[in-house]
Amino acid sequence: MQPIDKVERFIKRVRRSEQLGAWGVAVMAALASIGTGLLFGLGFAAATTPDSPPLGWVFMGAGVLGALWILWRVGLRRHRALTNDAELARWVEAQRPRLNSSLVTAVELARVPREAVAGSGALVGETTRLAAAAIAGIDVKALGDRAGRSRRHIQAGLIITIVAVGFVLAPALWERGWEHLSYVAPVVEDDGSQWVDVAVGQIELEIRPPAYTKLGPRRLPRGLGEVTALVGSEVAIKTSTLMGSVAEAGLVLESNPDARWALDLKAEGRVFGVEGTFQVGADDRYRFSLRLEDGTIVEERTWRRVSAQEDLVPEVTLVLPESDMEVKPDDRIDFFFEASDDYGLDRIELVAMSDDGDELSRQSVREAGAARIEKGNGIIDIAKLGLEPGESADVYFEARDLRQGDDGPGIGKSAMRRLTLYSPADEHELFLGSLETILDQLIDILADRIESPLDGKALGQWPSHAPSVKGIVSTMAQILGELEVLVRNFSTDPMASDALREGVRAVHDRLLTIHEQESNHFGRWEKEPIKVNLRVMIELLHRLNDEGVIATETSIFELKGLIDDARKDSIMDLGRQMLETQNEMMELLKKLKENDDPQAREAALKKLKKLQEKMQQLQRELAKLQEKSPYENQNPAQRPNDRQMETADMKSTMEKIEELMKEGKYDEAMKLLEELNKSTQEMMAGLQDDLDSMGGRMSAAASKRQNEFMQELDKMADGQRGLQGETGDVGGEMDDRLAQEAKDAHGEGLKAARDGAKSMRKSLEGAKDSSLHPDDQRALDGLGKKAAALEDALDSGRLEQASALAKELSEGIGKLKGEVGESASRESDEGRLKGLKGSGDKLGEASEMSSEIAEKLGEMGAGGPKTPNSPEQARLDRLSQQQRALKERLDQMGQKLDDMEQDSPGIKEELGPKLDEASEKMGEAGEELGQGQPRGAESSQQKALEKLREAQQAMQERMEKQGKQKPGQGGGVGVNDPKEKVGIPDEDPYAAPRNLREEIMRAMQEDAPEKYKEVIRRFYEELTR
Amino acid sequence: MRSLAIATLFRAALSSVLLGALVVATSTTATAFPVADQQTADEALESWNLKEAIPMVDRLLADKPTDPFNLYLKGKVLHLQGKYSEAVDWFAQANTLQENPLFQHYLELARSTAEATRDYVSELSPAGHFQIFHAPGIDALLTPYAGEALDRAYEELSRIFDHVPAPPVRVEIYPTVDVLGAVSPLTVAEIRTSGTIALCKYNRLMITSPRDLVYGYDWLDTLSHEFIHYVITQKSRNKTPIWLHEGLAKYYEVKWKRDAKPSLDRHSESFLAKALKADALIPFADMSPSMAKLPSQEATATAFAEVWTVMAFLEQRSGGQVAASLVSKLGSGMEDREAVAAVANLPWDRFEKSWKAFLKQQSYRELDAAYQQRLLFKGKDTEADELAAIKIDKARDHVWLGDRMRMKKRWNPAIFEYHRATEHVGNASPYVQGKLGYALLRANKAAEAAIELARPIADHPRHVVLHVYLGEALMMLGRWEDARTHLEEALTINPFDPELHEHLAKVYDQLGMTDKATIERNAQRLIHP
Repeated sequence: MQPIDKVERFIKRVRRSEQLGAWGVAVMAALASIGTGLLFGLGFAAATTPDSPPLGWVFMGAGVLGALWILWRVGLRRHRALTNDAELARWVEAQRPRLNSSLVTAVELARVPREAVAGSGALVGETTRLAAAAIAGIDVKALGDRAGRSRRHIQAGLIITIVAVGFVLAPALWERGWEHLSYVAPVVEDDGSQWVDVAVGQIELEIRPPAYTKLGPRRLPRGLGEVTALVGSEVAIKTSTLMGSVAEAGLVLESNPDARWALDLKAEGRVFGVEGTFQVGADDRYRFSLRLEDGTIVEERTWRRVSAQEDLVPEVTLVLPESDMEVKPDDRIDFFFEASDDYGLDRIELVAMSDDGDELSRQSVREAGAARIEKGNGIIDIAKLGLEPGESADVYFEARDLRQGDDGPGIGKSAMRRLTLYSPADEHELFLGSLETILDQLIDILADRIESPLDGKALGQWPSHAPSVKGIVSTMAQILGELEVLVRNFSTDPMASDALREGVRAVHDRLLTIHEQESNHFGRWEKEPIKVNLRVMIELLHRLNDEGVIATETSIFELKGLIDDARKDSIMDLGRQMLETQNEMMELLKKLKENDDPQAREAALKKLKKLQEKMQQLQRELAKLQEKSPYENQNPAQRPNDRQMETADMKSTMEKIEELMKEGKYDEAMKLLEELNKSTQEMMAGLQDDLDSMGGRMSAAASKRQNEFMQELDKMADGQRGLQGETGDVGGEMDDRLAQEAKDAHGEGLKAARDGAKSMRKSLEGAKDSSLHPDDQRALDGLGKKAAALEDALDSGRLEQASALAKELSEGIGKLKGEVGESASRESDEGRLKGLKGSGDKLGEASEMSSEIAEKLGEMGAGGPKTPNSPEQARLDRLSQQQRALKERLDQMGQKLDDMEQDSPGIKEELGPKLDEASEKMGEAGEELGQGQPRGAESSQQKALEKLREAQQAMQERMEKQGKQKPGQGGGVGVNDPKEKVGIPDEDPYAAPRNLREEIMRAMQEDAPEKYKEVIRRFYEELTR
Repeated sequence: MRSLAIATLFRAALSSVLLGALVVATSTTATAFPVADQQTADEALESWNLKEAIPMVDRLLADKPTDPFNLYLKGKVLHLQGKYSEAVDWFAQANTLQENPLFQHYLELARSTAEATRDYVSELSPAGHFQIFHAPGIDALLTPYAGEALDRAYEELSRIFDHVPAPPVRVEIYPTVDVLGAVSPLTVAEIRTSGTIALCKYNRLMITSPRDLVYGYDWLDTLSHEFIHYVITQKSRNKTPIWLHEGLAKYYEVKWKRDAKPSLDRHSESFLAKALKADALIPFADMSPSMAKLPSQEATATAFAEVWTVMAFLEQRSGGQVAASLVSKLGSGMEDREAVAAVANLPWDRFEKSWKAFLKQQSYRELDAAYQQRLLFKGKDTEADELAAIKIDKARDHVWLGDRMRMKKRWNPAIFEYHRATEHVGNASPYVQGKLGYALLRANKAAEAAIELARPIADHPRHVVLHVYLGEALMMLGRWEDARTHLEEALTINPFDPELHEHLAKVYDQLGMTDKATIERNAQRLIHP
């Protein structure tokens, strides 16, 4: 470093030190001056009244002026004086004489250009070097009047301290002084009131939070009176007026500017102390209003803010479960929460609400005891919610804080989780919806198949046709997949009938068969087209498409039938449920009538609501069942149909019942309920008829007629059978009597005849020969048997039978003899010829004998009229009457066929002739019985019975074809089948795990069928009236 | 009255009730007992002979202005004149002076009629024979056709019956059967069940607008039918028994059409065929004096068919129209059998035998039961009811499937399915053939459509759909005159068909009948403003 640099740096250091020192003194002195001004100014103001002349400002102004002068004089002037290096060097030289002007010289020389001191370079250098050496030992901080400066610092500091202590020790004094100084004289309005910026001094507040917060009061010693406090807090105000002669003080709220809230007033010297309290309710502003003793009203212009802080409602979060759930009746579901509150929680509750807003359950799961944060869990017991299958409950937590009073407590709610009780009906509905979708897809597929351009002969067009085949194959694959899922679903669906389950599976299997073949053929072509004989494949696909049309069409019809039947079942089931609910309601109303129990009323109203829901459900089901057929572009129906109007009327009745129940008019409500019950029964009866006839199935009435006809036919056949049996009995007894009489009268003759018969039989046996033709051999055997029967008849005296047998034998033997003779005439073999001749001879003997026997029997009176005796004739007459009555009934039945023709076309043509023939034979039998001919009658009866059996068979087939069963065979669907069993799915390979099936079984058992019995009985009666 | 048995039974029952009520009422109060003059006036009113009745009633009222029966008679005069509001006042006065079920009944009837017809507008038929009242709006479409048909009926039937009613005859067209129910003693349920869509009662013709039925109905024949009742009631002084009333009306109802010959409809023919086959004709003794005791609707329908044949037989035997003579004899007080025997110039027992022999010569045929046609009411009958009209399961299934295809606009598959249905019901079912024809039309197969649509028309000439579609098919084939025939036929059944007037306008244009085309375009605008 060059000496000159050292010099210059020294000069700079000195300047900085000296300037800082000067400014330090100046600032301290200025502050002291201001402090003194304040001290005197505020003190003077405090000692006077606000409306006194503001002399305090003079003191304060003098203090400020003094401060400015000091700053200029001590700080700024000195600062400027030190800016000249030469002057500064001289000042230093004056402080340190031994520098011998070297410093001044060096500084001066440094300012002169080098050329100007040419030749004197050495001098300059030496001088500078000397100066640098001389200043090396000088302490810059020691230069100047250090003692004086310190003294002034102390003096100023002392003054400042005094002022500060004064402010600290008597703040009120200074505040008052300031208030007095800042006091603006009121502006006098026309009405005599005066407006001031402020009318009171500093305000002392004490905020007392509501007791439930358990927080202590908060004090704000001085301020403008702005309040921020929790709603419900009490605020105590304490201040003093800025003017004397105040008679009253009050508080004015911005929200109600016309009112004045009186404050306590207490004289404090020349001013008045003001005290009062108010409660924080909402955000507002306030100001003071004073009435002076001379009556002048002094109003403040300035509003003071009151910020009301709300006690925030607790926050509660439902942590688990994370989503809505389907639950079972015996489930217990855990719910977890986290809750917090700004002023502390009181308790947390778990709430379950029904769809219509009724509270199903509420349980306290945690008493929080003012804790700010809580977490825990609660359990919902599904059984206690009283949900019906398919109904839902919304579950959530409620956290309550400690707030009290009208606004309290604050309640925070968590998000909700919906619990839906598993409903077989809803699930069934879902499956049916899917089935309907599949049905629709199948219709599209069928249309595609019908429009398929595939032609076995058009090989060249295959490339353009292939995409259509591919489309059908891939769509069918998708449909089959969906059907497979449905087959599984229905297997565990307790609402699905066996017919539905089996039907859907059958459809699946049928379609699969076609699809697999199509898929195989087409797939092979897609993979290796070269290896496939295109002509053969197209021909196969063409045929498969034709088969597919039939299979798809059949499947569509089957699915439609199954869906319709399922919907009908649902509708009838809903009808049953509605009737059951009405009965339950009626019981509740009866109880209500006796004892107006609010709970019972609530329960009855709930039932009514349930009834309304069922009605809506019924309407929806009916809409789904409605056939989709286009009107032929004519006058479309634009008004509600009868069924809709009927349900609308019922809905209106339900609303009236609700009103009456709410008004406590139970008698009238019960009366309307009875009407509703009747309407429901009528509607369901009509519906059943409609549903049965829908899709062309027979109406309930028609079906009933047919069933009754079948029953009558059964009875008729039974009657005829019984009559035939009795006729046979009389005939048998008559034969026995006549036989006995014959034996008594012709004992010897019969014995001789029997001997003859025995000989004849032996001759017949003797006629047997291997030469006989097999047919002749068989005929001979038959004759032998008849001969044995003849013996028996003769033995028992049955002349009639014996005579007939003898004649038959005579004819038969003669005929056989002729056959054998003819054979003999054609026979060339001697041995055989001999045998044949021997047989012929024997047959000749037998023939003679049989003729003789017949002749003898004729002599004995056989073959003559068999006259019944009186008792027998009486019995036969009775049977004849019965037979005629039966015939009349059959004729009446025949007439019924005319009526049934409407419902079942072709029935008359099919059954009529059979019944006519049966009737004819019955007529003959009746006459024969009257004529004492039981055997002849029996034969006619047999023919009549055969015709009746044919009619029964035809009727049975017809009914089976129409999907109807005879009464009592079960399987019927509808409300008039109280013995109907609820179908439980059988176990099968598609079935869900066993425990689910068992659950379903249990659930079905729980649905007590006892409750239905009375309803069904009544409904059935209604239907059959 | 164009109706089936229930309506007839109902009317008979109502008459009995009212008569009973009158007897009860009159027997309890001496002042209300109708004296001879009152009875005479009432009889004149019952036969709608206002010309005779009005001076009598005025005279009675002048004598005893506070007699309830006289007040009732005055109300009845006004009711028959169509002055319903005024009639209400008179019936109310009568009923106030003396409570009487008869007065009450008429009071309510007049009140509901006044209410229902309050805003009705009217037009005179072109020849001025009829004053046609209808609700403002779309039913105005009917009046030109109704006026023309009625005027023709007036000319023709007045000649046939030798009776000219004083014009204008009041005609009221109601927008719905509900209104018909309100202004008549019938309930809506009875109207729907019995198919009674029109009445001739209270000195006026009343019909329901065809727009309240899904496919309309033969409303112009019905107007003519009701007019015949009107003529018979007046001419016979209301002494014609119902069976002859219906027989005459049914037989002559088609006479308003040029060159139309009465013919038995297929359903009636079928009833007769069945009855003849089973030897179960309804004896005339059972019909006379009332059909009310017949055991079933089928028996009643058979009876009506028989009565129609009686007219046919009488005409054939007499070699000309017998209506005037028969009604005249009945009006002169002859019993029904006596009158018929006199017209036939045969003793009654021989008449019956000859008539049966006549029937056996007619070779009536039974109708296939595979399809049952009936009136379909809006609000009561649904698409499902239509489908259910097909009585054969398989056919119904294929029709349903065809309809599904149709709704998807898959016309060829729809045709396929409808054809499958015909395999079971044959090709004479109007319902199936109508659908098949429509699908063929949409598939641009007009020639095939025309063939299929024409098949069932012989047996079901009043099935409007067949005429509309066949008309369209014939238009597409350029057979304008044939198309006109069918479209005009459709007009007599359902003039509210949305496409009918458009088609007819085109046809008339092609045939150079621009005036008619304009009328049709106006009608089209009424339907689709």
